[in-house]
Amino acid sequence: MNYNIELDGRKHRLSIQPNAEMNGYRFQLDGQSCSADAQLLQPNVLSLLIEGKSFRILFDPRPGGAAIVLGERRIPYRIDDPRSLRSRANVDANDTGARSIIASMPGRIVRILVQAGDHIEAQQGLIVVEAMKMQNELKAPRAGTVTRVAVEVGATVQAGKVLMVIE
Amino acid sequence: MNKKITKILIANRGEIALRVIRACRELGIASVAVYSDADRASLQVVHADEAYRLGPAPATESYLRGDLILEIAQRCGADAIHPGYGFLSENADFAAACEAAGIRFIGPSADAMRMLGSKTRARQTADAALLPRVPGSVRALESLADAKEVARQVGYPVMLKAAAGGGGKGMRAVRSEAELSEAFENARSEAERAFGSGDVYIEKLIENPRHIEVQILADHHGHCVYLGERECSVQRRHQKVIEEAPSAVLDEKLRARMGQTAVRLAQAANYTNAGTVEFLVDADRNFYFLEMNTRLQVEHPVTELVTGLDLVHLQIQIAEGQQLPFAQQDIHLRGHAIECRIYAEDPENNFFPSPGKITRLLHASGPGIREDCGIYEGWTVPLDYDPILSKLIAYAPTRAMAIERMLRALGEYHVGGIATNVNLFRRILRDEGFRTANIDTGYLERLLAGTPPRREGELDSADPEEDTAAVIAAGLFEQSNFSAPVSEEANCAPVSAWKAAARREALLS
Repeated sequence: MNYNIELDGRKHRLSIQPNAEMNGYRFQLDGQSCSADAQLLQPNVLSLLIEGKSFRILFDPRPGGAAIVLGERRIPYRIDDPRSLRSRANVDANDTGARSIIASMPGRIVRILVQAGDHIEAQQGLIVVEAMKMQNELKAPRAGTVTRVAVEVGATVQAGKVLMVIE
Repeated sequence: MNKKITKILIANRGEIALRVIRACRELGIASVAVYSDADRASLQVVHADEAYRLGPAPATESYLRGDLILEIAQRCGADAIHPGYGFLSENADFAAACEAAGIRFIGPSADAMRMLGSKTRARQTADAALLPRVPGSVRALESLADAKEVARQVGYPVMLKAAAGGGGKGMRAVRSEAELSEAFENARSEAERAFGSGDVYIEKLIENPRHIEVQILADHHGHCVYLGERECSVQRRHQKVIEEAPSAVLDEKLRARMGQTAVRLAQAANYTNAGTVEFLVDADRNFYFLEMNTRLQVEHPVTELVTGLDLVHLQIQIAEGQQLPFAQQDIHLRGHAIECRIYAEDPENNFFPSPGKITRLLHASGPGIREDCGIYEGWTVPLDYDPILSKLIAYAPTRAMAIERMLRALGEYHVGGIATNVNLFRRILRDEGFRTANIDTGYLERLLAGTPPRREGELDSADPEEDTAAVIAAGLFEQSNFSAPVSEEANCAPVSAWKAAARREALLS
């Protein structure tokens, strides 16, 4: 199995050859071959032995994107495998000049500080979202005009929801 | 008064509910959990002997419904209610309603709570008991104009604080009159939502103080002792992040002086049960009364570890009318304890809350490690409550070893699926300022404003072995997820999936 893996900004080519005699695998990593003993301890928890060195590695799926957790590091990565869903890059909404104010976390709308048509300054407070008893005021990323307010006070929103559009 | 408690209803959720349930079990007392719709699958329900539904997820419709909670307590025959922290724990009307219904409230009397629980009344009580305190208003502010007036008298910078508050909710630092209006609105609104009361007051802001608090215990026979202090100077937005006991800057003399001051306040209010007197300590080691928390604190475990006492057991025994089983001279501090509050929040993203499903949970254990935990693998952290997931506490003979022990434990610990603040603790525990105990309540904000932490995921290019391991792991996880998806539910030996995948691959190649 061959993969193109982009990790920490560096591209790697990995091919995995199973070695059925043990729980082991042979790898070709960027042209170098090595072998490793891999044990999946439980789903998403991997023990890897590479020449005697022990690594506990976790696969951490999160709404914001999956990552490898190794020691103290959480390493987001991209992997290209035509059969994999995960290789699909996230397609960001195109910036057409209008800027959406997006909920970065799930929460409830507590206050809306502007209305459609208002002219706003950069850093002006727009909307207050509460989650886990903390209120966070979302501020305007730049000056402009509010063209649309997409939520009402009291509404519960999911992360990623467009709350407001400014132009 | 002197009557054994046989069944306790725990009017709380999460790790503290579980903490109290565990104490009940140890003392042979039956436990009753209550839960909101968001918490049906929570650990408090699973671990308690009985559990009853309160209502929908919002706290105002569930954990703050004192009337419902009392009704349930009476129906199921509970003879006491433990309020935990937050929610109804400092609500004097609720304590009074319990007393009226003949159910013991495990905490101080409603009267004592009224004298000390509201921050504004507490300041009046403290003045009467001649405690040194921070200048400011001793009553709730009526209006913005009132706030402006008081702030002008006290002099900027000032702090706005919720009278019914705690945990940094409804609290704002205000550096000039221009900031007052917005801060006043936000503080009031946040306080209203968190505590059901929008009352706020103003206090002079003392620059860079340490936050040091004294744990006290008082029985119904006139005995009151202090159990040493906790230093909680590592805070972010007035939320404690790391607590430790003892404080590195207190000597025996100052400890005794602060302890005796705390006891004096408690006795002035006829206080009973567990309580905490919070002080600000300035650079010259002057201490000022800040407020009193008339309940068990989140950070009580660090005191338990250095005193060898169980505060929840003692709370229950005091509520039963028993005498404190020791005197002040029997209390000795031994070793050092540090607590990290593990929160569902993302330090890499402005500390935004990160509710969601916990896909993997690996606990820390071993010598000197205690975890007070309210979560499990597969649990979905609701967005309706505080983001606290668990408390990791390290205990060791010295502060330096407690720090190393905590770092070791954090390395074992893993919460998958949601963002947590675990890496923040590593950064603090390795910081020279923290290691030399050179901390104050502004310490963490300064640390966070300093050199940004290494970008998430950035690999140390000096360690190519880790690089190799990470790339190989990425490939293997991809392969296992693609060719042999391992069911989260099925408890089948997962290793076989790898073997199966390996065999399948071998056949193909």
